[in-house]
Amino acid sequence: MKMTTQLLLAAVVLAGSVLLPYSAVAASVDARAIMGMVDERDDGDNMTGDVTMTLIDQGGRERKREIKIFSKDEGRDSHRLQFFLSPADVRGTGFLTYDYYSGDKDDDQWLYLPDLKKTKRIATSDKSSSFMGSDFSYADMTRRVLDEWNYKYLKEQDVGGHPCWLIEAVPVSKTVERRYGYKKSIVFVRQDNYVVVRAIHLLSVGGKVKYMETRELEKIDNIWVATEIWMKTTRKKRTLHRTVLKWNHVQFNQDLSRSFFSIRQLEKGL
Amino acid sequence: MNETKKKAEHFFQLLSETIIRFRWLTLAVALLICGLLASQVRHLTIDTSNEGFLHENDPILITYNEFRDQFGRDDMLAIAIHSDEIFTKAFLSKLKKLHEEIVDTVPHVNDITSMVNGRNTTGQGDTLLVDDLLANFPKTDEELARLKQRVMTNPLYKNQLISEDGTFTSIVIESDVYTGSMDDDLLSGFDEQLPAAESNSDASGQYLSDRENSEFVDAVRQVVKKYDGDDFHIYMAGSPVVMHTIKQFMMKDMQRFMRLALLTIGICLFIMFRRISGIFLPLLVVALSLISTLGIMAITGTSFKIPITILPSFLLAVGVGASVHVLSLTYQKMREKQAKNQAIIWAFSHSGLAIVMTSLTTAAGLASFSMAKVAPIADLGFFSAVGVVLALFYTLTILPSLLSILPIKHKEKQHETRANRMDRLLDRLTDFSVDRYKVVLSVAACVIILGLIGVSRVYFSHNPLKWLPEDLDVRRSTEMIDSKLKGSVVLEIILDTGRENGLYDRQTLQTMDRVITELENDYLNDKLFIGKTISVITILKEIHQALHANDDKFYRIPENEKLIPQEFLLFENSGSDDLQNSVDSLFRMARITVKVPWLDALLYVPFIRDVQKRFNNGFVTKKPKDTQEMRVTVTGIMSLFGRIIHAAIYSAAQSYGIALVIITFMMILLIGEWRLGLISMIPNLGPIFIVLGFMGWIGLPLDMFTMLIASIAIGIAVDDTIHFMYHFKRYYKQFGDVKEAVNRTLHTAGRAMLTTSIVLTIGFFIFMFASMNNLFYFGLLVGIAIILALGADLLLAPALMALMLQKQQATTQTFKQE
Repeated sequence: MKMTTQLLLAAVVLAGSVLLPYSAVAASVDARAIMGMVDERDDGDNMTGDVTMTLIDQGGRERKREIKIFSKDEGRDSHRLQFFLSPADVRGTGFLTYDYYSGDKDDDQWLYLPDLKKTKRIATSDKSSSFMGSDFSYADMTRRVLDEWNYKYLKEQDVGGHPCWLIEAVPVSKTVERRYGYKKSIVFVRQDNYVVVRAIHLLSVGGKVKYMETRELEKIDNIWVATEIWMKTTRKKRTLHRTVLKWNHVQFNQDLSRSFFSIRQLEKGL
Repeated sequence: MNETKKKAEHFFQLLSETIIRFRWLTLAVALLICGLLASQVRHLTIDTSNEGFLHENDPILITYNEFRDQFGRDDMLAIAIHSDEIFTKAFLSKLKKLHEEIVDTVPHVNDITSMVNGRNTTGQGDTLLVDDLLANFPKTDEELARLKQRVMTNPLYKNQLISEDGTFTSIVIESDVYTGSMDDDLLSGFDEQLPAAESNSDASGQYLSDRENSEFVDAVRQVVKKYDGDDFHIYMAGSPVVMHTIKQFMMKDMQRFMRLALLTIGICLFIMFRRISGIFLPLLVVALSLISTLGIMAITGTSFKIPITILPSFLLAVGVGASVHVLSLTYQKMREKQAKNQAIIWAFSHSGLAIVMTSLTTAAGLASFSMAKVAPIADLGFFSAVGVVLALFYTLTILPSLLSILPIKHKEKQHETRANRMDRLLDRLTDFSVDRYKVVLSVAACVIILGLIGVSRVYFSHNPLKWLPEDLDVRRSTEMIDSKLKGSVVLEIILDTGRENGLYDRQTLQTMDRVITELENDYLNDKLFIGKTISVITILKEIHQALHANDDKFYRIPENEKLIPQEFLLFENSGSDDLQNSVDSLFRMARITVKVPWLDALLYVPFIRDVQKRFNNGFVTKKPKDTQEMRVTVTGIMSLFGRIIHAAIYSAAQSYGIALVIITFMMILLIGEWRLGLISMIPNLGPIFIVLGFMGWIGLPLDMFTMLIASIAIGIAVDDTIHFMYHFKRYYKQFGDVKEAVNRTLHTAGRAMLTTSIVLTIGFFIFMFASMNNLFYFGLLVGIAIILALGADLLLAPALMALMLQKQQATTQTFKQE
């Protein structure tokens, strides 16, 4: 099924570009279909990896954080267990997240502070809050619900020599907008592999605009993984803060049991 | 000296003859120069910002800018809403609507905080919740009661979101730090590579402009107006509003009264001269020199700042004088049936040198202000000097050529009586001041001594809010917010621990906490009280308490030091970005915001010193090893103002000192004799000291604005004295008799001085009808200064000459033989 859609789409686009003038091509590209391909792209399962997060403030001052991440898909939901490796003063601090695909259910998040020796549930009603103090929000780290956005094809543009489709996504409702914190996104989808390599997110409040750029794209176990991503938050063209996120030791199809993603494991630590 | 003076007279005679011969050419050239300068005026920028008061490289400003770059703005717009019952569905939904409308419609808003989105950190069982206060809008009475209980008991909200008695709630709005438009070209925002250091050089590094601030304040005012009503009474204050209102009033009042003053002066000039040229020419000279000065400001890239608004008045005061001297002498000669051109030439050769000397002396005196620490005062000094020189230029060129070109009738008869009346007055003044010089001197001495006593009572102050009419909204709102929500402005304390993660140190946090608590307790009921302090300590205690099932006992800094970074990390992940308003990204610097009432800016100065001392002491005793690294700075717009004024006072005092020396020197040079030169400083300075003394007696403080008035007083006093001394010396040499010399001086220069002074005094007294208090006093004080300067030179100066020279007259007469 997946393969067929892809081929079909490619055929349509190819045919369009051969037979029709450019403007007509633009009209014929189906933004929703492309996003469908993006949504269906295999992004792996049972993953382990280390993330190095460099937080850079307005003055160029840097802070580094290292996090060990385990993740497992449960249907369309995803479970994640994360532990801080460094800096030393937060080492061992862990987060357990149940990220629900359906917007009807708030995500669950538990946190373990080793020096408090207690697990606390953090109640969050939205995905817009910062992921580990970075410019990424929880929403940026997880897959979006395809039907919660209306899409519009904008144009074609090369990014690093790869042709991309530029697609505008607008939340279908105020509720969705509030949950993601974005009133509009523009995503750059690479035509050869359906990876979103760039994105622009307009925040609902504060007039902020976030820019996401994939700087390294690797094929690991036949899965495209953005191993270096930049994200910056800007306001009136001025960079307020930026994050460089690097993935190391990414492995898929690890032997991660469902019970591994539990409070018990969170408290037990690595 | 005699020779030089003769030469000078000859020179001015030649000059005016030449100008009259080539009057059309002169006029054309002068107008061309003016036109060229005028064409530049459109490039003049207006900068009414608060930062404009400081030179760009002033360390106080640099600290402030560093603060703003790091933490954002400190000068918030504060809205207080009064209602007898805040915790009702009706009130809260109206508040929510207002909050949202501000977010949606007001430009340049960076942040807004009210009960709608106030931080609500709670622990419920095993769940930690960091959310907005009204995230779950209360639906039932029970929920409302719970919300009320929560808001009224949490120390975080007291005096911040809610008043102690629970009848006032607030909306605090932070405007943007930087100027710039929203991204129109989104796609261009990607970086091709990671910049080595974040420079933001591509973005406009300009701070929010004053115009943008006005847009911001006006837009908020628009929205607020719609919601203001019974049981939802809205007050608006905070420094953006106060500053905006002052600027608005200042510009409006200044313009309006400048026009009125011009009109009045025109009418007075007409009454004095009964000639159209008598109105038209002096005002033309003033107008041309004003336009040209603004042109030069534009060329030199100097922006027009608030204190410069006094420049037109200043040029009016000194520019009118010079033309009146020339016109008065010309008309006088014409009455004596001289041909018009001859009369003009006579007038210039007679008083040309005096006019040049008065202008140059005034210019030199004012130029000494250009070293002032407060940027606009320096600008004012420099450009008023430029303006005086330009006025001189136009007086020497345009005035004679236009006088010669325009048809000016030989008037006689009808004004004989009036002229005679003035002559009789001048005669009587001569008799009185020379014959009874002892009486005059004693009275003058008494007045000056009274003045000097008054001077010792003068105090410094700077409270621009008091400039505004008492019943004005912003004044009442500020008072209301100060009393109900305990402060409408803030001071910012920055604690720099000197090392990364310095704020993870428990002892540092504890010392901070202790010093803050002591400060709060010690400034509880003073005039300068602390209404609230906000710092990272509050966040830490809050989260610690929330992690312990909301138990009050745990509202404290964690005992286990290792928990501190972990709790901060937790907070960072909880969805609130409040931490970045309180600490820098490296946890090296902490910001402590202290809410205080709006007060005289100078009152903040000792407070700032005390704060600094307490923090320094706190860290010295606690952590000797860290003392070198720890650094405490106090900044924020109010502290900035306090220190600007502080600096302004000393720098102004210095400038006046320099001006005094320069003027004395010029007087000695002009008179050609040091003794008389020094004596002439008595009528020069007397009026200024008396005006100052008057301020002392009526309790009017010396502030940024009143200090500028002295520049006008100097200009006028110097003008009058030079005119008197110049003419007196000439006639004294001619006749060798004090009384004769005084009489002739008064009939020539004295007449012009009298005319000018009457005209200007009335012109400036018009300002007393202004709605702004500072403009009322401006008119009053300048008017008094003009009268005093006139009195000093029509009465005191002749008496002094009588005292000095009458005895000599009988004996050697060194002065005459010179």
